[in-house]
Amino acid sequence: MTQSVIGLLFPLQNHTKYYILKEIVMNCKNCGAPFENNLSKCPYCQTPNPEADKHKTAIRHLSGEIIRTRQKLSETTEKYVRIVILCVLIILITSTLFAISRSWEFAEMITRHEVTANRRTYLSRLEQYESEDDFLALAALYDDKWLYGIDDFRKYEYISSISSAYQSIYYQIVSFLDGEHWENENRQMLLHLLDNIEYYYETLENHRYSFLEPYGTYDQVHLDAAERVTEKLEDLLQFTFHISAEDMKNFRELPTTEKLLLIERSFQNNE
Amino acid sequence: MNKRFRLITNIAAAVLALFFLLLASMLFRQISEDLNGYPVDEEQLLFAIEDGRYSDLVRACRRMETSNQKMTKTMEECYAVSNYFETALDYQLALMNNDEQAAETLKKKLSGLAGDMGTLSYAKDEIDSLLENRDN
Repeated sequence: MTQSVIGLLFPLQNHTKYYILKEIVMNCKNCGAPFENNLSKCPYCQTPNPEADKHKTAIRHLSGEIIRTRQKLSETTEKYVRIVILCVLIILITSTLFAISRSWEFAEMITRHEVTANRRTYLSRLEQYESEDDFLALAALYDDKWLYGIDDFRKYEYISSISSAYQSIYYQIVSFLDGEHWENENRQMLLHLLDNIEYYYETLENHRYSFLEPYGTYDQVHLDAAERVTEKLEDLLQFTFHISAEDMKNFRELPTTEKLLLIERSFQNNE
Repeated sequence: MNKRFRLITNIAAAVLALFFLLLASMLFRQISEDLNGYPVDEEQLLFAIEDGRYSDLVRACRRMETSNQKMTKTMEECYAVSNYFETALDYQLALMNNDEQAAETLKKKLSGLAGDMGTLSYAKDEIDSLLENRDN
């Protein structure tokens, strides 16, 4: 195969082919007639040709040289082809390793492309989730499709931030519902839950003003939805930890330590 | 050309090619996971129901929902259990707030969801007792 590759890459020049395949035409020294110089006699006057043997030897030598040169060239080319193949493989491996370390960027690019193509579908899904108070789905869709920072979806940024914070708390609260009651590890979980609750209230207040550009303000429909998320969250806390309705009224304003004490007290009173 | 050189380059090319294929499949899998998250499997859902870990169940089902993962019949039943749990919790909250209208709507939804649970319908009673026992 290499030979044929070499043949393609380095074709023999026409004059070389002529020297190898055809013989040189000469004129007879006696009658002057033209004939090929590999003939031992002139075909017309039969005068011997002293150049014939010398010429044949030269041609054999030349053909051998050409074959050896082609072989050498073929080997050298094969060597470089092999080295190039190895280098290409190393470059491919390095690029793939780099791509793996940045795979999320590719995923983001693909998702962004998909989101742009299905913009209307996603907007209507967000609208539907918000109107149905399915805030877990809203948060999941917003996070999963990396909708943060895309202009078309910016109007949902506030409610999605709230829903995302609510989502974390919801799963934590449900784990209190289905878990063993009030062991030591539950206290750790509770502290973590309280951190998330504080973060939720911060998000509720601060994000209301964080992403105003270029809309000026969030529509009332999103602000109302945020209030409904908060009601749901507080209802969940009240239900799970048996907090009285009276205590729940001031829950948001309480410092973290008092929130913790209130939850512990309410919970233990009911156990 | 040196036979040794040819052998070494052959082996090196084969090893590098295999390594590249491995990395390429890893990259493909990584991007796929970044796009769709880790796929949820049947066993994971069933264990969550058996152990009564409904927070894990709801979380997994929500992930399955957003990633548009194809569901088997068992997974659909697990999904119904997850929906039942969420709705039953909402129902309890509606009762707690004396919101009769919402409670009525949710109760109807619950009976529909109970029918979708199929072989996992035993989870209904467990969820009901888990949530009803916590009512104030």
